[in-house]
Amino acid sequence: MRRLALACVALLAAAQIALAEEPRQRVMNIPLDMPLNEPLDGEVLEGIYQEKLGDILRDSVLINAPSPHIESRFTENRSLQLWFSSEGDGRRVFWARLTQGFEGKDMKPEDALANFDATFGKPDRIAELAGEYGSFWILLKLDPRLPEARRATILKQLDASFNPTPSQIADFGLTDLRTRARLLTPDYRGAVFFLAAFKGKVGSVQTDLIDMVRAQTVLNLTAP
Amino acid sequence: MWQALALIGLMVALSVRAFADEQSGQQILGLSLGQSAADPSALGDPAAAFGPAIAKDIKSIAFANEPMSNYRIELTDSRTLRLWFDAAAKGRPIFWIALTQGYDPPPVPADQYDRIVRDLGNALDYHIAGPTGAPLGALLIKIDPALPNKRRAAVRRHIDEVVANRPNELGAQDDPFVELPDDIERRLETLGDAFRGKFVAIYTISGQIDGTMTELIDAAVASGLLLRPRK
Repeated sequence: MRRLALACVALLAAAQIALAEEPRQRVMNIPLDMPLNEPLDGEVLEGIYQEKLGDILRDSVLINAPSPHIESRFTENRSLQLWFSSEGDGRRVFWARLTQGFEGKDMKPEDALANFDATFGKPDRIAELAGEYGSFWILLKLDPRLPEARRATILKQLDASFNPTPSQIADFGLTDLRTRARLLTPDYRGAVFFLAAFKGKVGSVQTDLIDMVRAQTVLNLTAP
Repeated sequence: MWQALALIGLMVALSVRAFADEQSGQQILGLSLGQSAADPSALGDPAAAFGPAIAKDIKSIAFANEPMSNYRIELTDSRTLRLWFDAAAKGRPIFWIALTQGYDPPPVPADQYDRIVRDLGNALDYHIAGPTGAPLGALLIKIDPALPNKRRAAVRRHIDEVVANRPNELGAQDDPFVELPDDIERRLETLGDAFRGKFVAIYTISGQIDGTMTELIDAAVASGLLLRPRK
């Protein structure tokens, strides 16, 4: 009995290590939790910008209104916003939003969806609206580094909350964080992908990494 | 009898006009707090969406939802208008209107200070001078005259306390009136969570107006949405 218990403990410990060793989800090489000024896993934000993004960066600015965030523009019609948590929480990235427009390009939705799979893995939840002229997809992929218990809790919460209506799917790109917190739950942490396609071609893609818990160190997402 | 009635009518008309004048100070380019924001999916007619005073001067409009719904409207004459609204509430009420104005171009009108005071409805609640040499030349504040007395008193108490606690030393960098903070959390530390009204921050260089920031804000709503819940 004692040996069995020890084996279970060892298995759980191994699982925890495996989870912690999952690579961090990133957009434009930047992970959630990245501090504005301090290092994370031996990397600093400024270093990522200089070493990994320098060649494609057009401009970047730190803005304090209404709360600290960085807005950057890149080649190929890409823009990135990084929003930081409270000073008490270490000014860490709680929301990284990459927006890319594909006007005039011939990107097919299937290719964009395959790109998401290749980058983040198979989605945990999908919502889709297929119309004659416009089609829209929302893909959710929880952070693979989440402890199993929290992951299971969020998935269970999503069963109840993530049932968007057709208009909520089509307008998802226009919704603010408070509305998203209602759909994704205030505990959500992971990738959120929104794709809008028109006449079989991708119009724009929005890839978010979001930690709703950390977001609540600076924002009130549960106001009625 | 008729004379008395006429006199009462005249007095009512005058007080209504005075109230309307006071209220007109609580607008920016025809927009007021609590007014419905335009539907982001229906911006085809800028005059219908934002009013004629704005529509005639629009250079570009951008809708954003980071971190909450807002419009950023670039206007002629080096002006930028930002409208923050509660997209999840019925009628999409506007809770924060911010207009920044740069100069040169256009040149600063000679009577610009008087214009600002007149636009605020004259009788100011506060005229707070920035410290010598600071970017902020002055902060002019007009509390919404329609606020109930209790809330108005709470606003005054807060601002009075902030002003009373200003450091005395010349050039102190912890003076909250060196520069109005952009960060909404620090901004509301100066105005207080109960604030509702209008203010103009006048920025100066060598004694000349260099730019202005005119804002209407309902701090109670803004703090409820843009700041973490207070304990």
